[in-house]
Amino acid sequence: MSTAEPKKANRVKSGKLVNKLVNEYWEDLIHAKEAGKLVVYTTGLPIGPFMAAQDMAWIHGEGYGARVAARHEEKEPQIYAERRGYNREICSYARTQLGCVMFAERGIPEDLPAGPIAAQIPPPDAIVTCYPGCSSGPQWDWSIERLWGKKIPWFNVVIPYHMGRNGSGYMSGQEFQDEVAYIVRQFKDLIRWLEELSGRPYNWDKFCELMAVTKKVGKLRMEAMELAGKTVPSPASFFDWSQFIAPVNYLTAWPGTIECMQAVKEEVQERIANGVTAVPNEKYRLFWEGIMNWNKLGWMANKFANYDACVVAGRYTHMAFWQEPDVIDPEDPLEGIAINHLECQLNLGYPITIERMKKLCREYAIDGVILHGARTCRSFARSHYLMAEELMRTMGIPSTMFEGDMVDESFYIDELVNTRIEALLETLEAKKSRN
Amino acid sequence: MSFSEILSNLSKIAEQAYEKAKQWKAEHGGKVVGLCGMHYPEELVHASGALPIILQEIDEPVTTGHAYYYPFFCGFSRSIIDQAAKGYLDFLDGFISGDYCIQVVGAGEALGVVLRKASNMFFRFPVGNQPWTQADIKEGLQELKRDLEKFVGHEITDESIRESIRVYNRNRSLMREIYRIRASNPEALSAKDLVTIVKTSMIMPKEEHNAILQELLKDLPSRETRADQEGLRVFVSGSLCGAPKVDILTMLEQTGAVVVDDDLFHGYRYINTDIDIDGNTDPLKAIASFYIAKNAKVPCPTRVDPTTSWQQYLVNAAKEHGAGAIIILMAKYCEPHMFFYPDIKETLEEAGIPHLLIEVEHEVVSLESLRTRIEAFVEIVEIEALKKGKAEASR
Repeated sequence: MSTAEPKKANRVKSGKLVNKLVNEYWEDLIHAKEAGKLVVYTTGLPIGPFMAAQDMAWIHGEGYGARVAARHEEKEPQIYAERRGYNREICSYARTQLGCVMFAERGIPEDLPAGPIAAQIPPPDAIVTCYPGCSSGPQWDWSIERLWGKKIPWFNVVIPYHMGRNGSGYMSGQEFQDEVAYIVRQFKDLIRWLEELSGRPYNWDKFCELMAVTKKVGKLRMEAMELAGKTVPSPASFFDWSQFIAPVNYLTAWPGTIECMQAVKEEVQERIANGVTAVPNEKYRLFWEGIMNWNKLGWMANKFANYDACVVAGRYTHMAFWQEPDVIDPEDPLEGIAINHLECQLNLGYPITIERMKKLCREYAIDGVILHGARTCRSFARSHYLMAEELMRTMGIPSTMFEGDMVDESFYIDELVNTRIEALLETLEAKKSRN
Repeated sequence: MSFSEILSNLSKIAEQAYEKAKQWKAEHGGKVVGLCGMHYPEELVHASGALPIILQEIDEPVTTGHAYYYPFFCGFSRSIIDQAAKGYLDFLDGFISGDYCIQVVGAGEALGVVLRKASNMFFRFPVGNQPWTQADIKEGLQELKRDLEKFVGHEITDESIRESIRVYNRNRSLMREIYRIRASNPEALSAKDLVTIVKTSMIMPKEEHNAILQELLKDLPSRETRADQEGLRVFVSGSLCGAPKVDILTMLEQTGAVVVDDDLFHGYRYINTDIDIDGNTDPLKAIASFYIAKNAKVPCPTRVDPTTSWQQYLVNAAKEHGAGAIIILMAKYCEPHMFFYPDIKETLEEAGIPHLLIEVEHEVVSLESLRTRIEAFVEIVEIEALKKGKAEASR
């Protein structure tokens, strides 16, 4: 299956626009205090607009871990956190950020030359947790609160797990309705809390404007992904879409995000018109199940391209991050935000999740599934084996799994990853030849 | 029945974790509901007429269960999935999982696939301690009550819940009485006995357990203290959903150390607080308040309640019980505990309380190497205490 000249992924070019926005955001954040802004630490869902409307800066824990890893600055904070006693089996996003928080709170040890992003995080003025489908998030923020000596005001929005009880399904049923109402009530409390924190009335007009932007960006992204996913061979891959997470995550409603998403949609349209594909010779169409591995993004994209496999879609990219833009009413946005957050990929009970996955597999003509067992993201990994069995039994879709992680490279065994991918592709090859 | 015979019987019940429930089912024809670990309103299930039992981690290595869960999940969740996959839980008519830990959420999802005939219920248990948390917990209880009513086919009345609460309060108070007596006479019961008493409470009808405890308490106060056992007093701490491996506790006692108290789920964490009710109390509101009160008394890392401090609780508990050291049992992959450990470590160090962290895996690697670590720890702490005593005496 190997070739003399390794084939490379043909990544979408508009990804560069994301880099520009990301750089702006971090620059802005690092200087937030000088600009007189309060800095709010957040984890979990993209709730930046709640703070942005009140002219506060926010930092997103996972986004921070991913950013530090993407810049290969993650080792020092991870080591520092481990020195304090944080076990390496803790969520690596959390462990990485806790190390960065320790740099901010305790200073930088001489033997751990922290990178610029890892070391320049401003201290928190407040913490807002808004975590779906994972108990680790609130526990992580509680750790930060303790690290700062329990002096930081903290608001925890509880996103209830949408189990699917009594026939409640994706965006339907009594459980769904009750839970949306519960989240909306908490958002109203959060807004009152932010008013108190900032000492001024909430700027609803700005909030609504930002949510109008969010709706537009969300819609453009979903349209672009759908267009690409339904085209065979595909003009863009999961690894491209991973790059476009920041504008719908911690950069939600950031200036320039509409243009960025417009550009990628146009690029996808152009690629379709010109027959340009994400991998040079698409033979297999795969689905990525599991969280992204930020320090392996390019490595993974090229690896699959070399195997003539296009990872077309993933639960991480396609089932969250303003995945339901139509339900957002910019004039009255709280319910729409609650629906998007409640129904995001991590927060759904297994029966709802697998139905959504199967729908995507059907629509995108998926041949096989990659199960990325992120060692320290047990929320994402929790139902992989159930999925593998169900997809094979009901749709004849085989899968392969390997262990990895989102920001801790040490959990990979490269040769094992190669072997597992090759085994899946051989299965698919045999299946295609039989047909 | 003699004191020893009662304990021996309880040991047998504990070893066969589900036999009592099966026996109850055969005799009463009722429904049995398995609860996935900590934080479930057993009283509510009991009030429905079903028998609630807390699913237990068993010693058997995980084999069949590997087909459903990654090996990097905690031993408790893997063990209960394994038990379900092997058919050991086929006797369950229903099970309840909850959101207090993502690994339990995942285990509940796997049980939903494996135990297809059993009713799959869920307890939504909001974390934190904000002015609205108690009412939110009550909402979660109401949802579960509706599920249970559908499951048993009849309404669960407030009076029946209050009655169940009385039975459970009685059980907790009897076990607290045992703890109280043992606090002044730690040799009266071994640490293993204590775990056995609490564990059996979780897996058999509470009424029957209450009767056994009453018998046990008749003789307990008169148990003699063995004056030759005045070793290091230790407090055992953990956030384990399953029972601690009793071999470790026994090993600890074999070094001469005395376990004076604990905050284990299969220990004081389970029994520390009663549900406050009288004739007219709204029982669900009372259960919701109980959860907050219970956590204030013995903090749990899954509850994310910033008004509590587990680390300070441990310092206070060690002082209160005159413990010279703390043994921390941490289940491998237990994220709630892993997030907390650095704070506990720093606080204990600042307070001058030595501790030993033991990471417990479902598949025990080597008990003998652990014995060496425990013996060395106990010796060092005792030597340090002697030095300190001499230094103080010479001042």
